[in-house]
Amino acid sequence: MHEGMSDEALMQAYRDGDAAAFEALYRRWRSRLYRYLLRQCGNAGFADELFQDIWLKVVNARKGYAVAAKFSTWLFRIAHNRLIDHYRAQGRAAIVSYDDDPDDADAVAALPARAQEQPEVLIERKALAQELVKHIEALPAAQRETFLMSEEGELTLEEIAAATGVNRETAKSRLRYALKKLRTGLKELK
Amino acid sequence: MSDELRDERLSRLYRESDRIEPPPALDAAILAAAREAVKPAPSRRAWWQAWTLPMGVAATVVLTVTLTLMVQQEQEPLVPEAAPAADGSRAPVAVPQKKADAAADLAVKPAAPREAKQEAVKREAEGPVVAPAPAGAGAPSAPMAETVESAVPARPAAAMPRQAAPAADAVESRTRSAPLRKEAVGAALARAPEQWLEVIRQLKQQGKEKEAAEALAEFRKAYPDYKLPDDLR
Repeated sequence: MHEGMSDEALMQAYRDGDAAAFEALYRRWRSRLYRYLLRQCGNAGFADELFQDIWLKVVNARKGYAVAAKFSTWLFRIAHNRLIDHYRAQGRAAIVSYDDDPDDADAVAALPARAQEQPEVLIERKALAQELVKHIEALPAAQRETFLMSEEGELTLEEIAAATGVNRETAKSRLRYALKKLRTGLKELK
Repeated sequence: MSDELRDERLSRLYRESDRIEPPPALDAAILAAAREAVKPAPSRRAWWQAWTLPMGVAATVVLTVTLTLMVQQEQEPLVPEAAPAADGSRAPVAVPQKKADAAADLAVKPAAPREAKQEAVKREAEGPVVAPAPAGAGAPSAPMAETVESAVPARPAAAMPRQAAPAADAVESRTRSAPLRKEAVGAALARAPEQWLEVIRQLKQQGKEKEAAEALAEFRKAYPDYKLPDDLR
């Protein structure tokens, strides 16, 4: 019934009282959002808490929902703001270096040399993917967030910029740095 | 995905990583909260509907108490109010003609013959107003009532004391709520005890012992506490 509906139409249906529409929307986005949060905060317990808070915000904000942007952009913007609050509460100022991207060369140098630690596992592609995740988790928060929004949320640069409250160029710069570091990290693994 | 900076190799590799999912318990909690949020709330009643029950109960209580008090007041004996008129210190109880007629009608229904009333109306037109037949007489006593009326000079209705009216009202109202006393009430409305006794005395003097005895019995019903004169005992 809800299969062919867009995210925005589902959210509007839920706003109008259709609980099944929310369930369809939730099924579409639950895994992506959860991974985004888990990669960002690096702790399953925190990720669970944030995940629930974000969806409850969606539920409570349904009455004021209007299609001003894609649902995914709206969802990830809520997630972004909730993460900022979480970081502040945790006192993780160093991690939340949203404004300053460290030097590219320094960031690459800071990546853990996990390839040398587990050379036999790196042969398998699965293991390589897991290493990529570790590199992602080692990215500066702003770059990691931009990369995850691009991969998990499938957001465009404009949408990432809207969700994170920066201009398009900043978002583009962050993503470029993130990709470069990850490529570098993968080369080191090979 | 931002095509401008898309790296297919990285993306594909990233998707091959563990597809971590949120715990099922978390899914259940969120979906339950979402369903609860849009569940239709039970319709609220209007404010005045909320007061329907307490107001109904209050009205019932007030009505019950009021009726109980009224019934208790109406069940008080009639005689104690009528008896003081017999001591002679106060004006004899007199009843306005219309009320007396009404009470008499009530008392003799349905057995009283119409002739008695018609005759009373006729006499009313001819001369001074006379109180109607004793209500307690009923059909058998109607002839006696005629005799009594003719024998006792009644006061004109206009000359009756004004203060007697409330007493008559009280008597009349009690008559309605106590049908078993209709006869006694009718007699009380009809005349003062002294007048009644005078009539009985005259009946005796005329040798109508039976009628006198019946009238005396009616009198005793109406005034059970009244001290009879020696000549009528």
